Amino acid sequence: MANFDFLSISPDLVLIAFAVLFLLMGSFSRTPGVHNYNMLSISAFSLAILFNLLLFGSKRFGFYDMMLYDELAGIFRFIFYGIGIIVSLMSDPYIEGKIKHKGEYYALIILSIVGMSFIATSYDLIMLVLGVEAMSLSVYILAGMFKHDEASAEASIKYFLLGAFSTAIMLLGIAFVYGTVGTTNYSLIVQNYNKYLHGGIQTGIFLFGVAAILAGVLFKIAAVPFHMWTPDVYEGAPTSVTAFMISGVKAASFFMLIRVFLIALKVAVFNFVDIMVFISIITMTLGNIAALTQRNIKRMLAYSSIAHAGYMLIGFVALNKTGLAAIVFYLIAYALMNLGAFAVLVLLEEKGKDLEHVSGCGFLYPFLGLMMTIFMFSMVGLPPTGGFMGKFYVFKGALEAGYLWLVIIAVLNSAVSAYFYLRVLVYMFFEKPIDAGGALRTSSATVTTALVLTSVGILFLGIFPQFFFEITTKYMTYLP
Amino acid sequence: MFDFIVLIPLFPAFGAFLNGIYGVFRSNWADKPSHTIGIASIGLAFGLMLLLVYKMVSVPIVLLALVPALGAFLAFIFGYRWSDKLVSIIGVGSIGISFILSVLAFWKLIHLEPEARFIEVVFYKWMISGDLSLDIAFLLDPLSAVMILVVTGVGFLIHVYSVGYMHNDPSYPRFFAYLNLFVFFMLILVMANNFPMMFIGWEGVGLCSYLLIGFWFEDDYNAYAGNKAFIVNRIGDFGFLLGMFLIFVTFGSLNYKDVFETASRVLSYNGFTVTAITLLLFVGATGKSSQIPLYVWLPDAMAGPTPVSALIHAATMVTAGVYMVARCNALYTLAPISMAVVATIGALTAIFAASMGFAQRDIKRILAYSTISQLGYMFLGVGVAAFSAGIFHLVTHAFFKALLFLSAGSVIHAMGGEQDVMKMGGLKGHIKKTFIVSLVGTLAIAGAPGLSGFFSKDEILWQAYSSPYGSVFLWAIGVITAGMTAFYMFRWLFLIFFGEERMDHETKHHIHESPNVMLVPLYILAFLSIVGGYIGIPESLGGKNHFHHFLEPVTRYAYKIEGPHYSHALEYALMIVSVAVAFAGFAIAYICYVKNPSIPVKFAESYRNIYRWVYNKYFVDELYEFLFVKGTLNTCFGLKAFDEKGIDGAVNGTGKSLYWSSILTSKLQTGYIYHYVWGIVLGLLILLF
Amino acid sequence: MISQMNFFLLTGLLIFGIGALGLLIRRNLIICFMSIELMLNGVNLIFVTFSHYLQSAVGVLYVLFIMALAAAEVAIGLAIILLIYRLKGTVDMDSLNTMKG
Repeated sequence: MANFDFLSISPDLVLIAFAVLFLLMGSFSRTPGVHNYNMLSISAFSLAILFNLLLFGSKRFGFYDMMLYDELAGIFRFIFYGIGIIVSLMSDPYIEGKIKHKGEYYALIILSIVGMSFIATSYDLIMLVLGVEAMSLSVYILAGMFKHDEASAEASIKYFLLGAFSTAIMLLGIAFVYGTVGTTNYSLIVQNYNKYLHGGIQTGIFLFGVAAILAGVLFKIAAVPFHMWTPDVYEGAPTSVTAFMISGVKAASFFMLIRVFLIALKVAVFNFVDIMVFISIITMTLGNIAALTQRNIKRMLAYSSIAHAGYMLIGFVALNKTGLAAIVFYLIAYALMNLGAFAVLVLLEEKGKDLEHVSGCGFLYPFLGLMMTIFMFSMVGLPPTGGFMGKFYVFKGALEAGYLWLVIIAVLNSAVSAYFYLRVLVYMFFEKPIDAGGALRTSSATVTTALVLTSVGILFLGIFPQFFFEITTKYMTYLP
Repeated sequence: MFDFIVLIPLFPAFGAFLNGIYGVFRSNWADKPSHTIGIASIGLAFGLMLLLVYKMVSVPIVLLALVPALGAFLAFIFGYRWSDKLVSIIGVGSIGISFILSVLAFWKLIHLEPEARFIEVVFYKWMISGDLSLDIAFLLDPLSAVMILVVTGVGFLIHVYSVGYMHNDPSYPRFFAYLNLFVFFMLILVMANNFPMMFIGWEGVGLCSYLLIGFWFEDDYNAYAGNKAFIVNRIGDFGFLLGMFLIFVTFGSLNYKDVFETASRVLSYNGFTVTAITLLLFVGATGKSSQIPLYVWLPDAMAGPTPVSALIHAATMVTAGVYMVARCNALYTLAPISMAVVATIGALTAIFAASMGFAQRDIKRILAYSTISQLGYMFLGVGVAAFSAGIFHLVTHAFFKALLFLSAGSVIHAMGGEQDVMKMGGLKGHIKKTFIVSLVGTLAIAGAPGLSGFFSKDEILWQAYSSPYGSVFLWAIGVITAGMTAFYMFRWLFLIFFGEERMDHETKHHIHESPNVMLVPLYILAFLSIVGGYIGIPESLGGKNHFHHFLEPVTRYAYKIEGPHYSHALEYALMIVSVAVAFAGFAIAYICYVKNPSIPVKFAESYRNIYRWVYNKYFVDELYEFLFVKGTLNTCFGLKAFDEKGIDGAVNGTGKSLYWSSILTSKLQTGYIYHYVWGIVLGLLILLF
Repeated sequence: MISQMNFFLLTGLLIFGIGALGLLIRRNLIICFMSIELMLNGVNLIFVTFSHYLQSAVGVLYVLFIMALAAAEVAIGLAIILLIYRLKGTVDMDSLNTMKG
């Protein structure tokens, strides 16, 4: 059993090596400011993708069965590393001059993604906790990375305190699960549950533990009523970090939900379906309604991310292959469109953060206007974008599971959401610019690359949805 | 397996999109990035095309539709910067390539066994959900092969003609962009293998027609004519759409093959469903092919440039309805009531429109009514289950009507823009070449023996008499119309080319023959108008009727009724009657407009009322205006009042309540960490219970 | 034996609850931060109890990991609180509501 399968974590080892290198460069280099950390970090992620590509398709247990690398974990590793590349691309012009030692920033991004990758390959709750903490601790720091910005510090402490609180709750839940089934290994949990637990007080305690774990996961997902931190943190954190949180952390959290609740705790998942339906409804409704009156674009997108989490939870409550595969598809589209929208905001932020400040920018900077149009259309869910196909597949899964009314509510929600997404475009294209529009750093080649990558990705997902959906359906082997 | 070829239209489309955005936002839209993107995408598309030609045998039929689109794209992108010469090379060349490819497709097709002449190329499967699959797939069978040959062939000639006709127009590139786009949509229409795609083409050609009628939109009347065409067509499309839904509900599929193969099993003969489907589809056809009661837009459509009238409003687009009925023969033959409706509407339109052509003064409007009348003939043909005869007439009509319109264009060109035939006359001596081709066209449409119109028209008339769906009345109407056709067409010819010269001195001084680039297409069309009929010489005249046999596989799913057999002698007799009637028409026209030009004036004076009715097209436009436009407006005003009070109140109420709930939820977000912790605790409690 | 176990479990839960309550009602960031440590220690106690009564070492391992986690959180948390103090001159939570709505 002592299968130290270092090959299966080789992409993460590469990343850790790079992160350590970045930190050392800060200490030992005489000119820490001149290094091209973003290019280094992109090459790190590229290497990791390459290693993962070599691994992909195999199924390996490792480290005393604490890890399981399977195809879906491989897909999620691709997603995380891809997010890493795009975040690295869009960060540099934004943090320039605001963060003294940029190596730390990229090292933290990399370490956070290593944490996500650990979540993806976890096969024991302890690995899950370690992955979550590695991810979260890095993000706590990243959120407060702008040391002279009060909002950044406030976001950081809010995220930290609430995150630590939810981690504590999650650990309590794990303690109870451990206490009732005597193990935290995913497959053993199921075995022991079937062997030892037959109703009674013990099962009650087990379910209590599962509920606490679910609370921890839902906190990371930002489902209502665990969402309260989301708008403040997303608004206050540096924009590039927000983009990272909104795409990467959310993707990791959803995969945590799928992996833990459909492998380890699948014995208990049906006890929570009804409550999850309820949570998904209030999540999307509250997210959309609260976003209606927001003036700050980042805060609006934060609420929108809550609403999107609600849509994705529909795929989870459907609990069938289509719905679950749709979550993965949706996550890819969601990550792309949010990264793209935030990449636009990264460039426009020097004008200001509110809707008024982007007035007329669509005509002043046609490329950014076009990109924002694509991303906003995708967020509303208009064809031919990935956002549309994501919603389509999620709803299809829900319909197959018989949740017609849930789909109707979700569609109504989408209709409401069109108002605030398209309002951004209205401001960008139909309002007079508030100033003459001084020179903007629109020429940043890296951000442009990120924009092109994300927009092409979204259109690709919208026009050739079958390609990805077939892959995700094929590998979605976690079924209750 | 060939999914990747979807990239061919995708790249130009994406490039066009980007360029369009750039073009709108930046006055100097020839900026470097857009230029590069455009060139790159075009290069990529061309590369892929070459690859496909190399890889795939049946690929030409896919390319057919895409080459004109590429031309449209090219003309649109570079139109305002490149020289006109390049624009015309691209515009004409793309159609030319299309034509060559369609000849190739046709060539390959006739080398197959007749049973195997049904080739489907699935281009891209978009989304499969439940029963509905939206494929972009093309179908090549004898019917669509004939149609693509006509569309690209006649289209090519008209494009060549346009080079001469439209030169010096400030919007020259826009013209070619639209014209190419039209050919693209027309090809989609005739090559589709399912109803939704046909509908895309159907709508697309309507759009292009609208754009081109209002091409000179600076003039209000042109814009009005464009709107009229668009709106009237929408009414018809509504019927088409309903018919399509009904087909989907009944068959669970919209693929031609699925629908037609199972039609005789799923639907009962003369059943309600099939009658409803076919009638609804026919409503669409009346709009597109301008039949009673939706014919009113076509005469106004003559506001567009003459090549547009020739291509869209005579040769191709307006025949889409006929094509559709022929395509759906498996459905129509199951519904004898619909067949009767189609044939009757066709016959009535034929005679009605012909009579309206008597008193028109505009050189193109006369031809427009003639087009409506000839379309009526085609519907009469398909309405009596003589599908191949209808399509045959469609083909020959495309030749001679395009010829006539282009000749009219040549005349207008010579007259410096004058369109009133009363201000022409005696042009025979000035523009001899145009006169000769016009004469050929007129003889062909009048049904002079030996020319193309004779064979196709006679086949329709014979079928109208002998087919099990036909009757002697339909035949009689057809024959009378043939006489009227001969009359008004020769009236047209005589008024323009014979008699005294009624134009003013200035114009007369400037009369000049058109350049060769306009004349050569006319010669080719004239040649086709003469020999076009020989592909379908009926057996009674010693021919083989190749055309009929070629199209036979198309009607394999049609419901067959055995009709009575008639002898060849009867056929000869009817033929002689129709020729005699046509000759009579010619003779009357000759007497009235060449021998003794005072007769029509006297007639108009003595029967003033009749003349007024005919001249004003029986006041149908005014009637429609009164009944529908005014009625609609009044209803709209009523609805608007209701809307303002009722609906808006409800909508605003919803909006307001959403707004207030949004404010409320925002209030919950206090910003204090401990309140957020309460949120988590609350959530945990929810999960626990 | 079960009652003994329940005693330890309830003690652990009590500590956890005290920590949670502290986070809910206190306003000082340092105190709140200590409350979280308290919660984690309550969880530790529960793990040890289960580990003992189940005769399995996994629970003890968890305790070690949680202690490491807590240490990491202390490092980060104190750094962030220090940052707040430097920027605002106070560690009162009520001053931390510039973003809301």
